[in-house]
Amino acid sequence: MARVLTVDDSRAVRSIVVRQLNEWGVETDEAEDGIKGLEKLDEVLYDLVLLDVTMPEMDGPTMLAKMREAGNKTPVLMLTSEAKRSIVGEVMKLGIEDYILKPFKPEELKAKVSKVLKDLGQGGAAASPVAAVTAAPIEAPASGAGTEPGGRRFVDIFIVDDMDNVHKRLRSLLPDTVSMDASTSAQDALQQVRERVYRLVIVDNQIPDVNSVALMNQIRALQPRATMISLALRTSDNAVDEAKRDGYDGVLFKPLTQELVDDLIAAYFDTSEILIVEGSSMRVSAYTGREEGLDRYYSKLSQRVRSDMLKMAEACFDHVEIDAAKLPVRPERAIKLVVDVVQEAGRLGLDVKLRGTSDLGSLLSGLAETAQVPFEAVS
Amino acid sequence: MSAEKLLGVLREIILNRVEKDTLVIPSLPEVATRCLELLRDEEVDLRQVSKLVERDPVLATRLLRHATSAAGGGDASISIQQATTRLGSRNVRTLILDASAQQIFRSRDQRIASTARQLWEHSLAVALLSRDLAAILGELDAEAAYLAGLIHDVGKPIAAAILLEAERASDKSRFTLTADSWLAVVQGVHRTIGVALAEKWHLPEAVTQAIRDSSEFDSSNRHSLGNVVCFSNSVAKLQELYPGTFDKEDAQALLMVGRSLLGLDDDVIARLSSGLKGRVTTEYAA
Repeated sequence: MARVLTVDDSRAVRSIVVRQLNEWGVETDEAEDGIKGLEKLDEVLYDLVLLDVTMPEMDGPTMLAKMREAGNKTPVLMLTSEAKRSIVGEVMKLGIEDYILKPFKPEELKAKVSKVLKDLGQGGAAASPVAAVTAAPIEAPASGAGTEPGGRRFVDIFIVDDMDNVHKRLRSLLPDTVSMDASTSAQDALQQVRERVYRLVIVDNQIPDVNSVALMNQIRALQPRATMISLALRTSDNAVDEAKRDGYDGVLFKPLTQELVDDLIAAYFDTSEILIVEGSSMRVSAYTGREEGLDRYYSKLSQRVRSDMLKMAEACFDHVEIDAAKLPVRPERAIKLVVDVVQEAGRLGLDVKLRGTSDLGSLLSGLAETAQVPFEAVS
Repeated sequence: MSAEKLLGVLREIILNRVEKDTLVIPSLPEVATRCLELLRDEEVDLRQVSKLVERDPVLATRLLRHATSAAGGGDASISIQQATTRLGSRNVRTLILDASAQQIFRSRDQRIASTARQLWEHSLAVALLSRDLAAILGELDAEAAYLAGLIHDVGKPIAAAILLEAERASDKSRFTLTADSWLAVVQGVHRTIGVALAEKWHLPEAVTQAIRDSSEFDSSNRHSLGNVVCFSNSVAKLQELYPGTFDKEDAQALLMVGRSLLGLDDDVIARLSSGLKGRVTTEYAA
C-alpha cells in the first residue's frame, strides 16, 4: 500500500487531505511544519510528500532543500496557496513533481497523486490503489447515445449553426440510429461540449460575429477525439484545402442533400465496418443508413468484397466464406451483388460459400446463376 | 555612468513621462479611431463602418481576406460592406485593433526590426491562446482576451524605440548599453507603457486591467483575464514563440501554477498548443 506524508501547518487542510487519501486506500502520516516533516522522513520511507510552502518553524522550500541535500529523492507535490512565480520557480529547481493551488478540488488532488503513485508503481516500488481508480481511456460506442465512464453522455454528431432549419434538415437526413445535438451559438456550443462526448462535430463557417476557426479549435481542445467538419457553402473550388489549412478534418457542403449526408456517414461512421475480414471469412456489417442510400451501399460493398477476395487469392486461399446475414435484402440489388461476387471469385479461383437469412436463400435458389452456390441459412 | 545607473535613470525617465502623459505613444490611425467610435454603439450601422474602411486600402484588404477566408476561401468578389456584415461588428473591431497594433511592431531600424516582428508573432500566439482559454473556461469575454494577449507586450517595441532615440541623441562614449541592459530596461517599463497605450486607445477596461495584471498570477481571482494572458504567455514561450532567450524554469513554473489555478488538464493544454506555430503563421499572413 502506498504511503503519503502531508506537511501543512493547517490542521483543516491536513485532515481533508488525509481523509481523501484514506478513502482512496492510501496510508497517510501528517506533520505540521518542515522540522517535523524531516523527522518523519527519517523514520519512514514514503512514496510521496504533499508539501505546503508557508509554515512556521521551517517552511516548505527549506524542508525540500534539506531533503534533497540529504539525498532524499521522495517525490514531492506542492500543495499551497502561494502562486508567486519566483517562489514556485525556486522550489521547482529543487525538484517537485507537480503543484496544486489551494483551495483545490478533490479530483485535482486525486489526479495528481494518482499520477505520481502510478509512475512509481510502473517502476515496481509501490502498488497504487489510487491509480487503479483513475478513469479508463474513453472509447466511443459504435453509434447511438451512451454514457462515458466519467458520466458524460456520448452523442454521435454535434452541429453548430446559427440557423435552426439547418439542424432540422440535417436531423431529417440522418439515419435514426445516429444521435445528434445542435447549437445556434458559440457560447452554448462550448457549454455542450463540456458536458458531452461527440464523435463528429460540424461547425458552420459563417456564424455572425463568431470566428468559426477559433470556435472549432476551442471545441477540439475539449473534444480531442472528435472529427471536425466545416460546414461551407459550395461557392469555392478550394474550400476543402482551406478547411484543411484551418485544421478541419473535412467539409460538408450546404445545401445539405441526402447524398452528402450519406457520404458523411459512410466516411466517418460505417466505412471501416461495412465488411469485417478475417482469414478467408468475411462478415457483412449491419447497414445503419437510410433506404435512399442503399444503391451506394451495395456498390461500395461489392467493391470491398471484390478487393478483399483479390487479397485472399494473392494470399493463396482457395475458398471464401461470406456471412451476409446482416445484408439488407433488396432482391434486385442482392442478386446483382451475389452474381458479381461469384463471377469474380470464379475468375480468382476461389470457391464461395454463403451464409444468410432464409429470405436471401430462397431468392438465390430460384435463379440459375446463383442456385448452385453453397448456402447456409441462419436466423 | 555605470550601466546599472544608466539603466535606473532611463527607467525613471520613461516612467515619469508615462505618469505625466508626456511620453509619445503611437496614436490609432484616423480611420481606425473613427471606426472604433462607431463600433462602440451596439446598434451600429455597419454600412457606415464599411465606408470608412474603404478609405484605408490596407485595412480594407485585411477585412476582405478574413471575410473570404471565413467562408472557406471562396467568393473573393465580395464588397467591403458584405465583408463587414459577414464578419460582424465584434470581429471587425478586433481586426481594426489587430491591424493598428501590428504597425507598432514594425520598425525601420535594423537593430530591432527582426525582434519586433518576432515579438508580434509571440503576441499573436498569446492572443490566440488567450481567446481559446477564455472560451473554454466559459466565464470570460473571448475577444477581450484576444485583445489583451495581442497588446500585452506592445510596450516593448515602444520602449525599444525610445531607447534607440536616447542612444542616438547621447554622447556614445557615455551611453553604452549591453544587450542585457537593454532587455532589463524594456522589461522594467513595458507593462506601464502598454497600459498607457491601452488607455489612450480606449480599449475596454477589462483589457487594460489584464495587461496591467499579466506579469503575475492573481490567486484571489482565478479565472481573470490577466491570469489567462499570463498563462498563455508562458505556453507561447515554451512553444518557442518568443524572440531571444527567456528563463525556461520561470516559464515552466508559470505553466505549473497556471494549470492548477485555471483548472486545466494536460490534454487541453496539449491540444491548444499543438499547431500553434502554424496558426500564428496563418494569422501573420492574413
